[in-house]
Amino acid sequence: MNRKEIREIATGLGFLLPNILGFLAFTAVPLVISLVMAFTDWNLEMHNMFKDNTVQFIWFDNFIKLFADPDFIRYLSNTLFMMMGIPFGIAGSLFAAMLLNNDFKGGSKRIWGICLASVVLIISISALMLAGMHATATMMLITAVLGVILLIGCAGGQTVYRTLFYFPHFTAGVSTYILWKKLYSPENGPINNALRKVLDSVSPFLAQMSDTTAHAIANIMLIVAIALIGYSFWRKIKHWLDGDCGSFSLAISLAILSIALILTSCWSRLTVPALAVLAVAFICTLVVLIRGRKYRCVLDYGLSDAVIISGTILVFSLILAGLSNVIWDLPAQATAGLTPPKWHADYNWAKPALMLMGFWGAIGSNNTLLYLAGLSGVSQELYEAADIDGASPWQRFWSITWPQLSNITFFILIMAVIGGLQGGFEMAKAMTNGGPAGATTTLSYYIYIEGFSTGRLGYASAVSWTLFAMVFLVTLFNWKFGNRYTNE
Amino acid sequence: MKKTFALIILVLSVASVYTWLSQPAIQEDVPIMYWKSDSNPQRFEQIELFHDWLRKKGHVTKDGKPAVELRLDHSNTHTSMIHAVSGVGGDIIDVFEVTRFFRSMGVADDLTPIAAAGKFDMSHTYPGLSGLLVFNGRQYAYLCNGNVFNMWFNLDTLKKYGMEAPPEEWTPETFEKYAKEYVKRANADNPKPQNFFGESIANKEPFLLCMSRSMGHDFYNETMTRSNINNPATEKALELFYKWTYEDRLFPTAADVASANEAGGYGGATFSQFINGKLAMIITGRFALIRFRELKDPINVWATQYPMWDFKNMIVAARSTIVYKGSKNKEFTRLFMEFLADKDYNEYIIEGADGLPPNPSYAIGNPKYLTPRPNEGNVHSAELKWALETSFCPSISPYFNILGSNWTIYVMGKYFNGRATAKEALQEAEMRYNTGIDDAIKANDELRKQWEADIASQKIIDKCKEQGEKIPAKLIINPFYLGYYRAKGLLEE
Repeated sequence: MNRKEIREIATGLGFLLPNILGFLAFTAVPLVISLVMAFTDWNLEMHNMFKDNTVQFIWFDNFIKLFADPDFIRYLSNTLFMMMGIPFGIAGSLFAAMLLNNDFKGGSKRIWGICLASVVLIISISALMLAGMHATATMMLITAVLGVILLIGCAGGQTVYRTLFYFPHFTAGVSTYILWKKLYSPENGPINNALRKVLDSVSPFLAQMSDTTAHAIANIMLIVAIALIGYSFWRKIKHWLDGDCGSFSLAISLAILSIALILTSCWSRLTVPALAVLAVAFICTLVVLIRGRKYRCVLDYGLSDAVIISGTILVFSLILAGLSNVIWDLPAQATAGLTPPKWHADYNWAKPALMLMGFWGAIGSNNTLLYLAGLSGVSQELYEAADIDGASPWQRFWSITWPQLSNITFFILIMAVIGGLQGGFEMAKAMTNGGPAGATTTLSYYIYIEGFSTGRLGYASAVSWTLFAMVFLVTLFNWKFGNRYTNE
Repeated sequence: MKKTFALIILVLSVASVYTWLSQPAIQEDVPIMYWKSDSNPQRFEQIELFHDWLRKKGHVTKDGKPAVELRLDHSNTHTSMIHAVSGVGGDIIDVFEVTRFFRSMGVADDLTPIAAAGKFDMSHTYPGLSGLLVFNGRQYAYLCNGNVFNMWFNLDTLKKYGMEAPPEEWTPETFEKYAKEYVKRANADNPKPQNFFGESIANKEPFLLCMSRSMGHDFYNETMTRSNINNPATEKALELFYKWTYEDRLFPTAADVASANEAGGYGGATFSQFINGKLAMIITGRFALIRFRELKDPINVWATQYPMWDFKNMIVAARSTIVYKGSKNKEFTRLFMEFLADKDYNEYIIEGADGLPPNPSYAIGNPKYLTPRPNEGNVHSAELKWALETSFCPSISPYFNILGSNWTIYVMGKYFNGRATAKEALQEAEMRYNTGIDDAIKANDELRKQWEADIASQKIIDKCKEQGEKIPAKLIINPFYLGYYRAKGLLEE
């Protein structure tokens, strides 16, 4: 290496040095320190510059304590529970992207029509307000706002709607949480105001329903849930036999479906039938596996399909089981009068309340943009061919759009799982303080409490690194399988 | 490119030097002392008052400037903790009720050698606060202001519904009867209660503690070595809390609270609802007058104790303040502590109504304190009387880190949400507190030795109780039991 080369390298390093120093000082070194801390008993109360105690290495004690800690398990469960909203968020993003992929720009006649309707609406609202009918006027005002949005959409086309849909993403988190807190207000929030009217009107009807009918409906829902899982088992095995699914993918899929069956049986009254289906499924699987198959494929072929479809079935079956439990007691509850949920003020509703809010955020997020980008990349020739073959809209979606977007779906799913594992802190801090009774405390909030409230830095680091291990596993999964299954 | 890079480096270097030179400690010709406290606007006036006090007392530079400049650094207790252990804590740190934790971390200076001479020792404040400020006979903190949380009534609201002012003391039965009558009258036209007797009690741990103590039970035992929150008195009180909230609807539920408008300035929605008559009662202290005195139409207020069964007691708390061990301005921090106990500051607190003055001698018999405004009823005299005569500090074990989760409020939430019975909830709280104690003593040898010594004392106490003998006072650490046994004649002094 001559002097000129050395000088060029030194200059290059000089340019890079501020960034490298910043990375070392604020990222790499703290990261290494936190890893070391996870194996120590560092507790701010005991170990700080004013105390003579030395930090001791306790090796894996923090990790052992962590897995025996019921709070960790509970907060991990809370985190996983809230992640059940992910499939809905993805479905919502896809739906929004497909809507936004259309051009809504209207002709001048349509615009003038909406203009005229808006003017009529505004005049009506003013008249109602002057007449003292404020509630009706508010409803009409909301309608008018929607009308204005339609009008601007007709004039500006899809750009307007894309901007509107992206609002949740560039609105500051805390302000949206406060807004949702107001929406969820149990007594006078708009959500419950609307629900109350609906529940008041359906309560008498539901109260007349006999217990037998309610139990029958509840059991049918459970049977549907179990049948859905059973069908998915059968479909997966069939795919495997046809060579459309690798053995590893089959194992993953069956594991997820088994979890779905076990959880459904735990949460429902049909424990025995659910477990019987599980047993039959396993026996059939064993028999099929022993017999072997004609068409072979690579081990992990069809993995993204296995994870997405089976995961969605898991979530749906749990929802059906939950709804079945609600319907079981519905006549008795309706007799007493159905009341809207108390959302974040109620232990049982706090998590779903946050999930619903997350769903809203997910629709207006980068996921929609990714899907939009993906949709623009789907070849129109495929659709034209499908049209010539007389495909229905659903067939066009299921046979062209969905497979063409599978790599994006897989990426979104993985990122959502990573985000879900790390998330929940801001929502809990701003809306519920982790309550009621720890119902919305997630792992990230737990790390904050342990590290910065109680000062147990060693233990908090252990929790952080455990969380990192989970995220890393998911990332590895993505790295291994993420971009390989387009057009699978 | 290289020149641009060199220019950027130069600009950054100049900016760094400028930042360094613009530090207050370099710019000012007097030392700067930092006070970590909240961002209450009154703090700035208190700082000015301190500077005036320094001038008055002759602590000035040659050109007549105060010898030290006090500056406010507002932060909460958690960030104060992180700053303190990192060596950048303020010279003076407000630690509210967690003095024990800051002492245990080793960041609080022992004030005992200078407190008596500076007249900020325990003889110059409320006796009930000893459990907050003194550990093993050593004083680690003094207070900026004190407080006895009690029930404040809006007499105008009561009058509107034809109710007389309540008595200063009452039993749960008389309290319930009065409250039910009020709710009945206040909601006569509403099928759903919209006017509540008082603010939510779902997280009012001091209220629960006072009721438990009134039957002779604390949340910790006599030596604070074990939690015994799972006791019949606390269970009974917790069940009453539930009944009053969910069955009698005297207090708002969590859903009612979540439905309330949260805006409302200092004191939040609760103060606003109290002022506009939606709540007849709030649990607060004298500091509430900061807000109420701003009103164009002053409200008439009245103070009562919590309802209690037998042994009358209240809880005195404090915004206590410590001197940071790493402070480089120790002589000035001593002056600040003297200032807190001196006349100027105490009269400021008295006039501004920022809680109870740290040194009660300036309030006793002082008409400026006792009867400042006719609409403020008995609130001044009653709070002072309770602080001096019947109050104990909150139940805080030296063996449990209270900066983490508050398990009492956590289990109250569980019980109120139907996740546990009162008994199960208290069993869980007791288990969690005791697990916390076990963890703390396992990690800290010094603490463990102290705990073992106290456990030995506890065994003697338990034996005395079993045999119906008097208990040696020197063995008891829990201030409540000391007062309770003394009042019951069960103490061997």
